[in-house]
Amino acid sequence: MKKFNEFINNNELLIVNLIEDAENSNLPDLEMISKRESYRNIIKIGDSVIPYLLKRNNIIWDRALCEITGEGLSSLDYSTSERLKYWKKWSTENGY
Amino acid sequence: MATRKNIEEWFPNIVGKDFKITNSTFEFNCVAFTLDIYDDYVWVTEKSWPYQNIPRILKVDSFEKLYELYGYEICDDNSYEIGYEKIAFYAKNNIPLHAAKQFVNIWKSKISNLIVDHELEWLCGNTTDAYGNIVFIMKRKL
Repeated sequence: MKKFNEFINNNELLIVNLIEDAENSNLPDLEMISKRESYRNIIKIGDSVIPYLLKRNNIIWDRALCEITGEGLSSLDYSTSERLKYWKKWSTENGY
Repeated sequence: MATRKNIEEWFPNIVGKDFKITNSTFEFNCVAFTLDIYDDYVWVTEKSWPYQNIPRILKVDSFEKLYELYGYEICDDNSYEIGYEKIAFYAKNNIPLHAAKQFVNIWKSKISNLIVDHELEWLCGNTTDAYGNIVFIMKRKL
């Protein structure tokens, strides 16, 4: 059981490190950021990364959450704060 | 969270310079920062873009028009002028990449989650992450 917990904890640490790495960008546009390899790698993880992205409460992850869940709001019609609010509500409604 | 080390990796011209960083948030981008907006991204892909006046086309000209809407006009001098505020805009291969704002005798930039105090040329360069060249300077009366 101890080894299992260590495995889970290490896995979580790895995911958080990957997320933090992908957040490290000097680009000005969320679309540009979402095209970076480190960002695409997070999306490739799939559903299991959703709770980690929601926990970040960072607009950078809006596009990733849209892609993974197939839901979300258009950046052309909704401000960054409106999109963050959307994901907060979505999180509660979907049991995260 | 970006660090001083990241800034030095992104901008080779800043290495060895005495630059200051201050922690900020991810809630706004560089263009928003130059327009004193601290809770949104301003870019052609965002709701905040004044698309009724300027098409959502990612080119330098679009940003020149954006700043004109905010009362700025082109100037050819990046030195401090009493009674004016100035912005500098960076692009690489005609792709808009960054905006900085002058605060008296220092330029400040919102980069990642940091505010960086710098000289204009320290962010220039053609490496992958550097911002290319300054393509215009604009000013408006305070």
